[in-house]
Amino acid sequence: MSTQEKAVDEEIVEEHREPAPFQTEQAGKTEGIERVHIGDPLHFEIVEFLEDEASELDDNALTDWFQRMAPDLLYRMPVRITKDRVDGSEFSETMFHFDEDYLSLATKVMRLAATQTAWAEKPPSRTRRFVTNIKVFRLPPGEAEEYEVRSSILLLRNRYQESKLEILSARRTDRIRRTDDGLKIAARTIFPDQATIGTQNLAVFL
Amino acid sequence: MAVLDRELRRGDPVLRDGTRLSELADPEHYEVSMRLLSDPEIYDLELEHLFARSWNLVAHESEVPNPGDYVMRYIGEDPIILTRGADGELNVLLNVCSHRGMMICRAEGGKGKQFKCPYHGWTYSNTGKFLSAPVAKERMWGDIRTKEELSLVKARVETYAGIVFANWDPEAPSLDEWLGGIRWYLDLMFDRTPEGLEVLGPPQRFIINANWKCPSEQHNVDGYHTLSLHASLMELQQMAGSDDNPTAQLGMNISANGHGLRCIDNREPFINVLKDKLRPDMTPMERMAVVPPPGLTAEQVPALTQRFNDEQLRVLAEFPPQVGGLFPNCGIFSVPFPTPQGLSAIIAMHTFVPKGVDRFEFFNWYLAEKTATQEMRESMRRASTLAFGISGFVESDDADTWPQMTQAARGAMGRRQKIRYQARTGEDSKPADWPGPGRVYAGFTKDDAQWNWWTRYFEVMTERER
Repeated sequence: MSTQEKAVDEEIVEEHREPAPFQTEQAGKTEGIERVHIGDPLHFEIVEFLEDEASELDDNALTDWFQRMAPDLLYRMPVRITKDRVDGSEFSETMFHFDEDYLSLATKVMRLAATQTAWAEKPPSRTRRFVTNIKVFRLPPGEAEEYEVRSSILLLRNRYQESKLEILSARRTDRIRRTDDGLKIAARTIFPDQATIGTQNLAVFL
Repeated sequence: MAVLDRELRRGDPVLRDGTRLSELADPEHYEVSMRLLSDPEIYDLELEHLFARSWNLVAHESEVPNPGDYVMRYIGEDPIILTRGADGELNVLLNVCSHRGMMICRAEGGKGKQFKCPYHGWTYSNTGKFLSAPVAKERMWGDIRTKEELSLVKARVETYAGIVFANWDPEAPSLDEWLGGIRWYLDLMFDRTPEGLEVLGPPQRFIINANWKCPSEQHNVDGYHTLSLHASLMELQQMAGSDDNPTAQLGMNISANGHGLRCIDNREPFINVLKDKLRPDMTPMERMAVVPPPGLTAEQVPALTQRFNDEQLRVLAEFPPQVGGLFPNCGIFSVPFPTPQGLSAIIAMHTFVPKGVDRFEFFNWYLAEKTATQEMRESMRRASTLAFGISGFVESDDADTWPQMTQAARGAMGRRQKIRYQARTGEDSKPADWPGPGRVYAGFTKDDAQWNWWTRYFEVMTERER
């Protein structure tokens, strides 16, 4: 081996950086918030809420679905990128697939529900949403009674004559609020399982 | 090292059935064959003749701000790593190990001064240099190839306004020459302040089952589709206009080297919320003081005079370049956009990265001025996500269109059909006082620039002189 090559070999550096925790449960802290266990009537109530919500989306009853949103809504789906664990979270905090407040989500819903030219969903996709693995937490008392609800969603989507179903799967973290008008979604973050999303648009909701 | 085998360049390719590629264009009638959207043989030729010889938009510099940063991207179907070396220089490396061909970098972004292939541990610097391999005393790389020869293949890298382009072809013209006359207009979209633009974050990425040329020819530059495909904007009262009064259609279509963009007539704004703010008798600086160019504040407007001459300022105020594309596969935007919270703006870049003849990956970046406030950034990000990209109510309609074109091109009859560019403005419509370069098509947006995109496609694919 030549001297020059030796010098080059010496450049190799073994980097040791601590890996970030792998986020199977993308959520805030769980300390200090009370888990509401399966079997509790509140858990059943939340499950029913999420299942009814999914049915409305499957049935393309978008304006009904939108009634479930609170006026201070934050509805987001962060961009995910494949990263080594030492480089931190896979989820971007500054780029999103959905980044909606109440009015912008209303605009998207209204376009799909009330215009004649929303070609992305005309004719509409056939969709089926499966909501499972629901964890409910009671948030510390504030102005309103609120729950943090985590759920897994599997969205199957089909368009035109294609026989294959498009698949989107995600973990969601919701903040659900009890109001005089029933439960409302105050915040939803959708953590997709794909870095490259496999459907041509998100003219459907999760 | 010559990275391209020049022998592969055969001039006008002859397809398996004896058809010459150039026969798929009919310049007399301004038509091209739909076979171009569905023939896998043509797709293979594009990887060799087009993507490997073009300046490919791969990233924005701000994605790799510090030495050691990297992102993984694509040139055609080739995975590449864009790195920033210790010296601050950008490197584009083929992400293929010299040993057994594995992809050495599997993450899409991160930090690392070196890349170690997981398979046998061959290690490279972030400038692509082969350093060593495990059990160095055994010299597992042998003595047949030098370490230099075992380095990663490097592409040429050039930037324009922080936008990073890469090209495998050592004989390709410079990026500046490649961009040609379109650069005059790009300056007004992407190079307006000393600090310049930066990305808001990593790009959205999603798959569309369509040939990459469907979005590419549309962005270079089809204004007409807005009236039908995006009619919901008019239904929602976001855009003015109707079939009888299609205001968003007027202006100048610009074409240079196959790149195209639209300088939309802003003297009578097509966005409803702007209509009351601007009067025809205003000077360019008065107009921009009231409605600043996308992503700038009113406070930043006076400084534009230090960057642009009076002619450029007039174009920026009255006919701003807003939407367009770069040959071969990019979309570019600098547009005002109304949101429920008021007027905002979108500055965006798209690339349509081929993944097979009937599939491409849509990369979608949003940008803001480096000097933008947090409030401005969030407003632009919201506006962008509302309108553009995967969930945007404008582009979600486009995304449902291109797969249908591609599917229609598969059949025995479909592939024999033509796509047509017969709405001609002609070459003599450029106003005498128009200050910008390029071929300029004034009036209602027509097909000239898109036809020029196809002309450039055939020039590159058949190696004709420009």
